[in-house]
Amino acid sequence: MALSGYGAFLNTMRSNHAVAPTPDALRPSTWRRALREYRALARDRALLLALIVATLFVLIAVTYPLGATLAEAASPEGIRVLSDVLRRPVYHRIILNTLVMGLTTAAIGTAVGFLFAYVRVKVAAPNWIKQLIHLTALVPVVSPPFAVAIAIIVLFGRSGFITHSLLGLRTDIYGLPGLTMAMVLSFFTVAYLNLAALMEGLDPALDEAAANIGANQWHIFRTVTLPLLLPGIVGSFLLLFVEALADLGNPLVLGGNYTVLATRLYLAIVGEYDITTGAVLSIILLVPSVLLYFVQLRLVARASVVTITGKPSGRAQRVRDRRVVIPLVGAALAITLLIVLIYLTILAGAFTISLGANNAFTLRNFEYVLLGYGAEAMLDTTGMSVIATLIAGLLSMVIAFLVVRGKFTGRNALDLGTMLGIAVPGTIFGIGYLLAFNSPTALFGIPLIPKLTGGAAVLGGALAIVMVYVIRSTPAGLRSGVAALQQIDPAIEEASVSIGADQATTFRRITLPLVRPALLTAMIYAFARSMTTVSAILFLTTPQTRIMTQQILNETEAGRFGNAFAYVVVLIAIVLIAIGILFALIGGRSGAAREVIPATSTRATLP
Amino acid sequence: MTQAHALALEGVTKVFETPEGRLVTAADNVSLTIGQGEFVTLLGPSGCGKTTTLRLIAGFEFPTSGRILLDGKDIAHTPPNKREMAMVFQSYALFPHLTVFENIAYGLRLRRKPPAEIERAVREMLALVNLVGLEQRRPAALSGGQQQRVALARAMVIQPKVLLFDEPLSNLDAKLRVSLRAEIRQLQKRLGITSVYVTHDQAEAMSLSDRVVVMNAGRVEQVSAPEELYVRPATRFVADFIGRANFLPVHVAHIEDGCAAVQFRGHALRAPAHPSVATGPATLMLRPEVIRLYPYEGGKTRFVGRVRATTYLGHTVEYEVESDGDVLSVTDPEAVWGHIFAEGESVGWDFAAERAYILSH
Repeated sequence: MALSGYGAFLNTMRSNHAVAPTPDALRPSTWRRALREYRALARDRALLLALIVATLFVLIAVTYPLGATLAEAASPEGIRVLSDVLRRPVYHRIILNTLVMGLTTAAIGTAVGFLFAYVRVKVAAPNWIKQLIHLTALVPVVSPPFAVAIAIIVLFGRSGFITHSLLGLRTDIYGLPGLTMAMVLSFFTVAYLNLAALMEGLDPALDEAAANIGANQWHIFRTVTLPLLLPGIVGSFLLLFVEALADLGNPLVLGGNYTVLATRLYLAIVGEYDITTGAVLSIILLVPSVLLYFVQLRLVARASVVTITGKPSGRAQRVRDRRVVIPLVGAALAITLLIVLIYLTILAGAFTISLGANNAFTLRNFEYVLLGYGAEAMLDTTGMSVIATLIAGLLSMVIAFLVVRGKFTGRNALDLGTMLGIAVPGTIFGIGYLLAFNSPTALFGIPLIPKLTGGAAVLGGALAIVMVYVIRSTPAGLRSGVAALQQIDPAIEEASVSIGADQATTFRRITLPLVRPALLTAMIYAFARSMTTVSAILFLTTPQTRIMTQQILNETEAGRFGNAFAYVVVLIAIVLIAIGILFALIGGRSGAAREVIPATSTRATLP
Repeated sequence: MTQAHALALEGVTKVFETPEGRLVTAADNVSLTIGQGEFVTLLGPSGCGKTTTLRLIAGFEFPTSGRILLDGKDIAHTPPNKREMAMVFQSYALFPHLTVFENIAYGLRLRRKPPAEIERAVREMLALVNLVGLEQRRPAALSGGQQQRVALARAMVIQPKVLLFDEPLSNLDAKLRVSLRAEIRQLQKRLGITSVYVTHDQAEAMSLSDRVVVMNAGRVEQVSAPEELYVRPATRFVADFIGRANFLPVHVAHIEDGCAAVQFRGHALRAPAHPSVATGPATLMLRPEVIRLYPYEGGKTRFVGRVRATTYLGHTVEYEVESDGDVLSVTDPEAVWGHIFAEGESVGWDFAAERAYILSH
């Protein structure tokens, strides 16, 4: 009977095309449908609450300040400034500078990232070399972005340790070359992680198939590996371009006379108190950044979908040809050495009175940071980062849950709105927050949001800073949360609901433990990001709230490199300790949770 | 164990919108009553709406229109966690981070039962599903059959008003499927829990259920006891989906006592008929094993034909017989000691009219 039933089954498959489509006349209007979806959603209070909180977060902390910036730029005064900007050669110069810097950084940064990834994944090299370059590549993630810039001045500047003391040169490191070097070394990690993940995902059977039909290594690289990685390469290039455009710390420290949009914008706000010019420049910076950011997100996502086919079906072919291996490993090691040298300089500088000029050992720098003036900044920054980490960690998982599991109109908008937090350059949020929150916000005469920035702001501006920390770190958490949730069978959550748990209980007792690795990634990222963020909060600090990165910048501008280095060392130490604590609290234990660690969770999430 | 509960669906319709904006009616005016402690199976090909109907009962979807009554109370828009039902999933859906014990205890802990009671109830369930000794294992360390027994225990321990099964045996191998099937039926009978079971496997449906609901294109085709379904299918679709069938055109002369007097190839027959049959053209449904083949003896048999294909299966022989332009499927269960007809051989064939069935179209 089973046999004959199958025949009948096939017959019905042929004769009945599953389900009949209903006439279009029955189609409910989009609004009615959306309303019904929300009514269905509202049946679970916790789900509704989560949606409201997430939406309010995106509206108030992300879109409102952006809208305020747009409105300012679109005001009559803004239009006047814009036409001025478009006409005056000095601005043409700035825009050209920005583009040149962005393109150079993106090109070299992607190349370095590719080199590191290729050596680590595809080249037959001793394991310790692979570990060394991997760990070195990760260091910039936990250090403030312009730490490298300061060290470069000390090493390669006019009275630099290497250029002057060793080689007797009088070089000018300020400007494009120094800037590019600092940016590449600060940002190439993202390209490295993206490309390494993609290379690991390449199906080795492809290599084998190509080798099988007689292709040599170079031919395989050119015709198989490279085309498959192309979307990832382009994606990394775009991401680095956006990062370089948005960066403020490095151009401030190393730019010199080489003015870019970000530094001009900073000057407009801090030097000229001209917020309209700031807003206009923001928009010029904003449009390409946001566009390219989402293009690269798409590209990288598609690259990983196309090439990761599940179980590796063979052994990856490693490049063994010495003529290839030696130059590649050599180049990677040289860059690794440079990074190590830079961080050793930071460490040495922190314990020296004035590196290069007076190399005497001292603890005074640390005394200043840990016990003196810097102690407050250290405690403030760490405290706010901890709060932001807790909020961002939970919020990113909640939004990921809504985006992946929710059935309601607007869930893509929620995803997009959250992602804007990182797609938009930090400086623009700085201006947006000033515009939006420098006076209390009221709607129909009802006070909604108190004054959050500037003098006499709520909690000395701390609230605004924490908000910025959260919006800057939630997107990465969202992506790793989404990746993790997509790997969990929705039936597991349904099983919990079906035997009586509401959504909130299910989320707390089932979903959260299962996405724990993603939560850990999200929180580590949030803490590191918050501690090291510069551009977004430079306009938001007040005398009551001191931020370490701003202090580092101040010390650098004042030429007190020793203090700046000590700050950097302390900051890195705090981040590393926090990572250790997070691992102890959230990582480890559960074997089940381990299995759902998505290979993608660390990828494309470190912009 | 507990008082059983009754479930009813009244004109339940569910319209989905596909991502491309097309509207699809997954459940179309489904009406159904399920008695206290009854085991009812929703059976049909994939895409027939059986899973949607189950998810509507569970509360994972809400109907576009219609009512779902549990003990007479409309629960169509009650959230799933408030319906006091429990579902067993095809993918087991065990909580991978919890032990077997904690998986089963989950529902009881939600209800804040005292620890001693939880301990007792979980141990009792473990014994019922033969999992004693595995309570500290994680799901990943269990076989598929064991995992599904944990899922069953997890669902039953909360004494749900209705137990829902979404193709729970589809991921298991054939032998295990048969033994677990028997286990499920035994447990359900013992605990007397009203159950709704979804499957596309007719053998599963027939062996488990008090009644089977055959669905097609979102609509209910027939609701009947398994034996009724096979012998007296309501539609051609059911006849074809449950086992195999031959359909031949006949003319109904008149109807009397549920039997139709028909003209078939010049012979008058009286065969049981579906209530919807009226006088005029109709369809004669013949199961392959109802047809008898005889050696051809020059016009002595009622109908004649020629064997087109012979398939020897050991316990039976299957034939394709061409007769007057129709191709008939014939199963001969007596081939073990009888004659096997060769391909191309002329045969006579016949059937007992009381084992045939007349369908309206």
